[in-house]
Amino acid sequence: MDFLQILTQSQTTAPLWLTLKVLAVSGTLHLVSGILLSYYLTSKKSTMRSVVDFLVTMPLIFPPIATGFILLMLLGRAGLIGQALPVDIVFSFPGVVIASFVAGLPLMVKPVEAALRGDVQRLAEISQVLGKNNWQTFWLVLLPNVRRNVASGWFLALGRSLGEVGITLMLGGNIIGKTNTLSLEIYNAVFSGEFERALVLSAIIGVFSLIIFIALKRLSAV
Amino acid sequence: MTLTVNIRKHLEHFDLQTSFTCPAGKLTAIIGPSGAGKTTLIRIIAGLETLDNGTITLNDTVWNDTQQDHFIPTCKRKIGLVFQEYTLFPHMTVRQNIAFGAPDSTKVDTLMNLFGIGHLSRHKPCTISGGERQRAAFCQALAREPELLLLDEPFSALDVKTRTFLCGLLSEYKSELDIPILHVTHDIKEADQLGDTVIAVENGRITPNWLSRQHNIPNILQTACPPTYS
Repeated sequence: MDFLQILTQSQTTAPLWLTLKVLAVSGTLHLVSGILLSYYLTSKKSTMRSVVDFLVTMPLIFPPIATGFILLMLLGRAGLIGQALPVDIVFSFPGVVIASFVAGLPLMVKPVEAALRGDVQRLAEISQVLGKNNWQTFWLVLLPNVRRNVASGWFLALGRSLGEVGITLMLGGNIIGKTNTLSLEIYNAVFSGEFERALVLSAIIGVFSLIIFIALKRLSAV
Repeated sequence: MTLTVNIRKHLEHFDLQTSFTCPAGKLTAIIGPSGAGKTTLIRIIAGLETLDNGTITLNDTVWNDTQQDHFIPTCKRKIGLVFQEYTLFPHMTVRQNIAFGAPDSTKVDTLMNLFGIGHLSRHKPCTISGGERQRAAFCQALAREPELLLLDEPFSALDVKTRTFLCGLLSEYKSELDIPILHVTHDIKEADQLGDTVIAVENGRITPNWLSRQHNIPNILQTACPPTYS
């Protein structure tokens, strides 16, 4: 097996670049929306909060392929949301990003939410006693004190997004050269009997996973 | 400036129902056994917990009035609050902690020197001792230029030296501060030493005879200038 030759083939580099682009976009979305959603989920109990909590947690407990199917029904051209959108979401880059985002979101939100409900609540009270409102307290006190939880949640979400297959298959369609991420390309390679290429692709994902593992270890999250 | 409290809140085992006033320049000590509702009382006055019925006013400013559905949030009450456990922000230096709620940061250094922690300004809370942290917590509360100082057993986790130092400072400056000071403790000696008025609370109610039931009450009454007990 010529590892370098397979690594430089467009069949390998294209899914690699696609995966990196998807991770960059969904990672940014995870960071921003994950922090805000975590904060929202620590607010007073309400029906809206319960609905948001359910939607965020669902990908953790619901099979990915079924989650992908529901999203396909909603975001497809004839879907409830899809028909109101000016661009096609499914079988395109945005579809792959959404799949990656949805899969990783609970792993970002839940640890941060738990941290925000913990000991830092006492610090939040002190901040309010010292004259800061809720937003000032969040940015100046809470966020700096849960930054390690944010970082570890973010790395976990990245790891989940990297390995995402089920939802991506439904929303992205596994179109060669367009929506086939690294994980899907391993499946494609095995399906067409290219075991050596599948091994190289797995090795690339293995390196990513190792980096994420080391990062998590440094953050003492695993 | 006088704090007037007249509140009722249903707790798990009893109703916290109490009414008292706390004048400026005086320290009102609230004593009672653990679980008597002392900390809940402090938290209600700070606006950190709601009350079922009643009013809390500081001079003419109404902080709570359940009948009028009026509630001033904690951040808008000018309060200094020191808890039993050290509650400095771990990501900030000692000086940043003290300046966090200070309207006038020029007073921060003066306060730090007064409390003997001027040399610790760049230290993080985790690198200083418990006693130093509690001194910083006092500075943090006072730097806010509060209109009311609430102390929730601030000396109970301290060594004798730091406790004596902080008690001495509090005794010395309480009239100079000219604000009501409410000091929760379960140490009768401490209440006697610092308090101009001592209120005993048991099962959520002011209980004058709780004091007389304590075995060391004769020692307290021997002080040269005993506080008022209720």
